[in-house]
Amino acid sequence: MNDANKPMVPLEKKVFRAILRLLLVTLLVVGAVIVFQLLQLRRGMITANVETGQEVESISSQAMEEMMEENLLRLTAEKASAADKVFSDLGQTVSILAKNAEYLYENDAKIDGVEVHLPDRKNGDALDVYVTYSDKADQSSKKFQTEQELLGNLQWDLLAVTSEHEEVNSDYFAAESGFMLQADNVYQEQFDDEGNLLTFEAKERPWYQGAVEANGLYFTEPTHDASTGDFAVMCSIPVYDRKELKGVAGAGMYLTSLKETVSEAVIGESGSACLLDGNGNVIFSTRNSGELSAGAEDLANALDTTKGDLKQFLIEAVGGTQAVSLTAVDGENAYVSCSPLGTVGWTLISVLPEDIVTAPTQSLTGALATKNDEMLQQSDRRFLTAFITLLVAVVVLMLVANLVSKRLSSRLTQPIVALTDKVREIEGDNLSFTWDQHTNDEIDVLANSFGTMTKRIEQYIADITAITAEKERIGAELSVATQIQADMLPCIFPAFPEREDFDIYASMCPAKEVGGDFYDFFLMDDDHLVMVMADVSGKGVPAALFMVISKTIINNQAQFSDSPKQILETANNLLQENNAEDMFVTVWLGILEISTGKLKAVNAGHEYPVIRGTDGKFEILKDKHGMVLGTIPGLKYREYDAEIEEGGCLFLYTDGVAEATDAKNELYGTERMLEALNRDPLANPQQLLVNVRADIDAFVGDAPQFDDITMMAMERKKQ
Amino acid sequence: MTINKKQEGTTLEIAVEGRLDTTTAPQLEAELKHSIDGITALTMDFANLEYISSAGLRVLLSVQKVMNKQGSMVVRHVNEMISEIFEVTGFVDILTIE
Repeated sequence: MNDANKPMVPLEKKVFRAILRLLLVTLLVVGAVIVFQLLQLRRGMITANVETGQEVESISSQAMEEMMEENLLRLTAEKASAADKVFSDLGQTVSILAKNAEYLYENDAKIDGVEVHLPDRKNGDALDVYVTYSDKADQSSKKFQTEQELLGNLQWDLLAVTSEHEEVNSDYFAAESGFMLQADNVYQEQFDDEGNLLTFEAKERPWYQGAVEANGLYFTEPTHDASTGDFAVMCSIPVYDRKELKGVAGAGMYLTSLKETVSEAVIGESGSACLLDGNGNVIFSTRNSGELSAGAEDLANALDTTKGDLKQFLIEAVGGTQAVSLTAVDGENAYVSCSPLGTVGWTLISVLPEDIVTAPTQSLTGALATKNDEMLQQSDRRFLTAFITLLVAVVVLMLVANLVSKRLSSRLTQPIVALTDKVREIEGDNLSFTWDQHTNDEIDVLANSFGTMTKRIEQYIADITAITAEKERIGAELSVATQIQADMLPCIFPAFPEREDFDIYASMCPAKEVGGDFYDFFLMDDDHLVMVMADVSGKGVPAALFMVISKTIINNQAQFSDSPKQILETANNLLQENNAEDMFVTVWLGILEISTGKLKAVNAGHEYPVIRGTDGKFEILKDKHGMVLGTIPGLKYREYDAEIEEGGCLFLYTDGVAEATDAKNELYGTERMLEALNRDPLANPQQLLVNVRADIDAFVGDAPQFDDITMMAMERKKQ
Repeated sequence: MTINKKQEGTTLEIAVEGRLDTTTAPQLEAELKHSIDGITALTMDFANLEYISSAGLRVLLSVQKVMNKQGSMVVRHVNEMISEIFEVTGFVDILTIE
């Protein structure tokens, strides 16, 4: 249904909108998918980068740590070993001295004695070998002198050691008996301020007592040389002759070279190292202050200055373990490694701040992160570029789509628009329609069909015009025929106004324009009234034509005979001739002798007549019936007599009355007809007909009239 | 109106139901014209015929005339009303009513 209020939207616009919408949706979907994919890609890249960074950091730092720890430990061990070698070399040297001394004691009988001079101040600081004495020595005893001269053989060994070993500043042999042979360049110390030679109590010295107590190689605790600022260590070994203690051989050494060795154990600029003795005293340290630094004057004990993890580590380190650990030194996390100097029981400590270890990893991950950031930024730029390109593409595509869809829709709809215009031109009587476009599609088919249709409509209009004209002509003719038929029947009432002795009234109402019923009445002479009521089989024009013939024949025959029987027999024979259609007519014909009321009648297949006697009630007269007229030649009819009493009435009708039908297909019937007549039985003929007709109409209601309804009433008036 | 045909050889039985009037008579006429060729015994069964008009009578007359020439025709099961019509119209004289 069309909404009249809605403005018409041209097809072109609709198609255009549809195409545009489709393109727009497609573009949006594609764009959304691309943007989504780009975002996914970006997210994936970020995740991958972060993961890579973390992994690199983890792997790198772990590897660095392991490597660092390993290297630190190895370096510490190497340097510790190098430091230890100084001590072991010294020990070895002292051992040789002791062995030589023992050799001299063992072979005293075979070896000649050699004199060793006293220290000579004039020699300055040149290397020299000299002898000093204990206050308790018995210098006058022969045995003492012999032993001193025997051991004098040791003087070249002593000289060789000090001259060969740079770090050895002094070596000596102190005899239990009280003399001491010594090679060095510090013999000025043997004199007092006045230049008197001092005695030297070697047996009271820690190196002497320590060696005897240890009964083997002994190192003194490091002593701080105030004059040089260096630490010195003395190494000594007891000398026995046949299990009798004869003395102690020893050597003193500055630890200058160890200082260097310790500083070599330092890694990098922020690394540090220190050397601890067996008690935890800091001998050397590259650290200037804080934990693990050396004391300014006295020996600082590392175990006293540290605490916590570092102290625990140092205790174990001093105990002789080799280890590496990450711990705090002066509040700064550092890798601390320790390695023992086996010979002296000292420990070399190397410290490496954690920063140095983690710095490469951090710089690597930092670089990686920077790189990732750069990549991300780059990809972001690319994404942006891609996005903008996409946006531009969408806009351009939309413009193009706009143009294309406009042209496309116009091209698609142009024929329809043309067709619409053509169709609009068809108005009123103008049905001409020509289609000269060839789109070769449904529109073509539609246009051609429309063309065919308009042609047909034109044809139909022409046909209908012709048919209507024909129908109008027939209708006009039929209406004339109706009039002619009506005129054929006596139709002027009162029919015999001059007659006082009877009254007659009749009516015919055909179901179609013309009917097959007819009635007739005429005066044969003054006293004889002929009445005819007839019904031709069928209806319409055929019945009407047959009715005309029948009426004419019957009327003609009545002119020649006063016998109803004869009239109908002749009429029958005449009618059945040339009656191929087997039409027939039912006829009631009666001749009334008006003066007496005597009625001679024949019923050829017609309805029973109804007669009202003097009792004033209509009753059916069951008369004798013959065959209908026009069927079989030579039929004989039976004539009967009846009487219409004065004041009586004769009512004739066709089956259109008795067989009028209501909507329920119920027949009106003769009973209802009689009732209608007897409702006002004494009414005049015309009123009787009106009454019956009204009753029929009431009965039939809206149902169509099937058959012709024809009635006639004749009243023989009382004189 | 309904027409029921039953043919056995040259015997034809036609049962007509409903109203046989101006409207339906041409139908019966056409049906009969079409089927009574060569029929020697025709039976019209009017057991369920409610009404017959003059147009119907005309068809009966035509058939009767044809059957007079080629065999016989019987009308049966005629109810009271139809019978009265036959009587009134005199058709009782020309039809064989059983």
